[in-house]
Amino acid sequence: MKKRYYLSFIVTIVLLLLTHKIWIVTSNKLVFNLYPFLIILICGYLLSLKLTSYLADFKNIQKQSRIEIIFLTVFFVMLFIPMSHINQNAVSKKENRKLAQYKSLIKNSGELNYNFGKDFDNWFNDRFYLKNLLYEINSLTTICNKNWQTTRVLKGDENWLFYKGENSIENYQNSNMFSENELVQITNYLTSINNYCKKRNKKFYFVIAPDKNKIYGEYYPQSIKKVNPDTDSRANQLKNHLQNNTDINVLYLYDTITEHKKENLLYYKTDTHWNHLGAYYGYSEIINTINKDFNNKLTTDKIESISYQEFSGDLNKMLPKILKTKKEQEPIIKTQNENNYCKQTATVRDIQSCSNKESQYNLLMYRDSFTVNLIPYLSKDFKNSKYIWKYDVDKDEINNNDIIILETVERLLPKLTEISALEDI
Amino acid sequence: MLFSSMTFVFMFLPIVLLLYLVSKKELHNPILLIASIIFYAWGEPKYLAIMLLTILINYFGAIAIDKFQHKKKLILYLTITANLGFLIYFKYFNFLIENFNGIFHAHIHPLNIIMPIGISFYTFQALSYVVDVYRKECNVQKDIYKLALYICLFPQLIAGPIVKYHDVAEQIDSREVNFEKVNLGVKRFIIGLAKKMLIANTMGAIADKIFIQDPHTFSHFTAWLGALSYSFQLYFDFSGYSDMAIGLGLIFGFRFLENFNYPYISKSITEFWRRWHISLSTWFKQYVYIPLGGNRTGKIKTLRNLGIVFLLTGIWHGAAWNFVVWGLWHGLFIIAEKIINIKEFEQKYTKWWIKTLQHLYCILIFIIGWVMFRADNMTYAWQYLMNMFGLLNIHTNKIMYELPYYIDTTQVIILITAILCSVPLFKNILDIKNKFARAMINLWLLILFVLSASAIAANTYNPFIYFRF
Repeated sequence: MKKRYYLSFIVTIVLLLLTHKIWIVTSNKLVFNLYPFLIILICGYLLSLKLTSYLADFKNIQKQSRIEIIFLTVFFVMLFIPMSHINQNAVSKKENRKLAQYKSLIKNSGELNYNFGKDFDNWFNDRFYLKNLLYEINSLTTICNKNWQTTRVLKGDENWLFYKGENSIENYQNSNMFSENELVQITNYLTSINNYCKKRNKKFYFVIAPDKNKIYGEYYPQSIKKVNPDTDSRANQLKNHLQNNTDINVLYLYDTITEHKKENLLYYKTDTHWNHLGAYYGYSEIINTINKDFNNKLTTDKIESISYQEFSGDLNKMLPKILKTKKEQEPIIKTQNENNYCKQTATVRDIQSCSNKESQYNLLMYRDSFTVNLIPYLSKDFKNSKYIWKYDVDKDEINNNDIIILETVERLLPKLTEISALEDI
Repeated sequence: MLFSSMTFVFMFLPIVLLLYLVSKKELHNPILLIASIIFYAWGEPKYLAIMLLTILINYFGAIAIDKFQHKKKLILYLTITANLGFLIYFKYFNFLIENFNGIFHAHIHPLNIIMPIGISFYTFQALSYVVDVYRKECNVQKDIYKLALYICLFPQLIAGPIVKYHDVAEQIDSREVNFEKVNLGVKRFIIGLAKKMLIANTMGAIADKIFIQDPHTFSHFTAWLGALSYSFQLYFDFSGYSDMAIGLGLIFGFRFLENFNYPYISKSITEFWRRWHISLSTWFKQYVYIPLGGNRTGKIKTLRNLGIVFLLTGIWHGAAWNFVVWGLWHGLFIIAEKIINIKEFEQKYTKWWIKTLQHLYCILIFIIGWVMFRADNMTYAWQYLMNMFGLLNIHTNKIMYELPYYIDTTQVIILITAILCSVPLFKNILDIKNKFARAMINLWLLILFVLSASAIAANTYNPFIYFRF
């Protein structure tokens, strides 16, 4: 009989420790609160005494062995853990996205929400307690594999990480070509921009940034084979089609980057994008091409020195802790025109405008994430430069600028088929 | 709601269990009925209407059968027609239109029909009830709540087993909930969940990678790997679901019949169907095969009846031609085994190597069957099978992946586990009396539960590469 009293006492102590924030207030100094302490002490003891007695009697009444009682108790406690605490944050930094909001069964308008079940699932899936711990446990199973994969990330050789989403594996294999119809759709869209620009005496350039797995394919898992060589890639298919059928300026930066990759690392190991050096070579090629049309009136920036700092990229961020790879060294470029550098104030997703009064042309760039590292270079060469994160262009914006660039990373080229051509009246 | 979702395991289940286990016996049925209706309405609330209609039709149908004995055959047919009407409309209507268009070159637009989840299962349960009443195997259920509970009881509502009315009629009226049942039920539930989350999903990941490709672009070995992984996915998925249902049933005091009995160790297709999805094959036996005359009306008619049963079994699994062919494929071997009289054959030849050959034959037949089952259409199935047997010209320069892409070290370990678990090695593991062994098994079950929960949680983990906020 006495065992129960001791056990309840221990449980009460544990309870007190767990709730210490209630009876010890720590605002710079410790303040002891007697009343909550007494309430927790007494109620906790009574409650745990009742509980231990119940469990002890249960064994006697049901004639069950302790092993089974413990098993069931642990199981039932486990069932209640995930809902015991609901994460109230609006966003998840780990998953890099907004978390689902709670939507009630009856909407504010009085209508019934037929999607309540799914909405509730989304809400609970995003916010249950210990989600990250469970995710880490699940990742334990993948750690012993050489080239493991998570939903978004693929591990290559020598700790290179690659992005798995957006059909980038097929893009690496050169197995998903554009159909005739898709080529026509993209061509229609790009031609409509080009014609619109020509009429208004503006210049349009279409830039395709190469994917990381195309440039550093030697670190890609060996088990993934190329079906066609890179010369027959989808990006080249589009480039050739545009060059044969239109007069659009197309720039596929694959050759430029490949040429310089022997000298230095041009992409991050832990990120999908090119690093500042890779972006620099991309920038040089873009500006050289533009300069041909502008009689070399644009200044081009030259590298002065390179220093290194620690960096951990977007792919690493998406991984559970135990799969994360070491931080890498990121090249930081100092260029000659450093003084004219415009400071980036906005967040990456927003429209950014930079200015350099010494230049005479305005740049408008529709783009994706690959332009992020181009911005510091390009901005120095233009009077005003504006970067908008999307692929469908706006006529009003074009009217105010001289040079229009559309930049797309090659795995996202199919997005261009979804945009309808500009109407020019 | 799915058993393998966070909401079910860590919200719905604990709340329902708590309410059920602390409340008095009189409240057990109402709690289960309300829980079942919420469970069903969770994903697609509109189709709750169809299920409620099914309950009403069968309730009044059975009462009418009981009351108007002289016209009971007519009433039975009307009720069956109504039940099958829903099933045919929601499951097969577009398939019928498609084939009608194909044959008569017509251009009827298919309707925008979404199949209510679980309709194949609860319709069969409802049919079992009215036929049982018609046959006077059970009394008519006067309490509509109890009938509703039988038709929509959530443990087996959306993926079986198909519980027959005569098996549970008494349990619905009164059943005992005790520690042993709850304990055993929890264990069965954990085993089922682990089968689904840890084995079936892993095997499914392998099969999905292979079955998405053109059969010309992978090797024979890969084709076999795909077929094998899919066979294991299907077995562990389905039997895992049945285990969860039986386990949940036990927790609530019900004893459902077993649905799987190690089908992959069968030595003939006849035996396979005694071990695979038992509740479906016994349903067809009791409500189709025997009414057709069974095996008592001459040899030719027996074979015809078997053919009909397996054609229906095929169609029941889905509205597409590959399911029909799959059903007939199994029917063909059942008929062949009937003709050579497999029972006598097995008694006559008992040497080990004949048994091994028989086992290999059976494995070959059901694996070929599963390829048809998995394929999107018959053309794909045919090419895939040709590849498996080396009859397809593979474009070696188009081979997209090597083996390590499809299966990594962890998956090899799971594949071996799957093989070990599909033979009765661990059959009586829950009946062991030794204290230490039991403690270890309980610990292992809890670990399995945490691993399964982590697999469920990982499915909700959905990181974005671009900034979405």
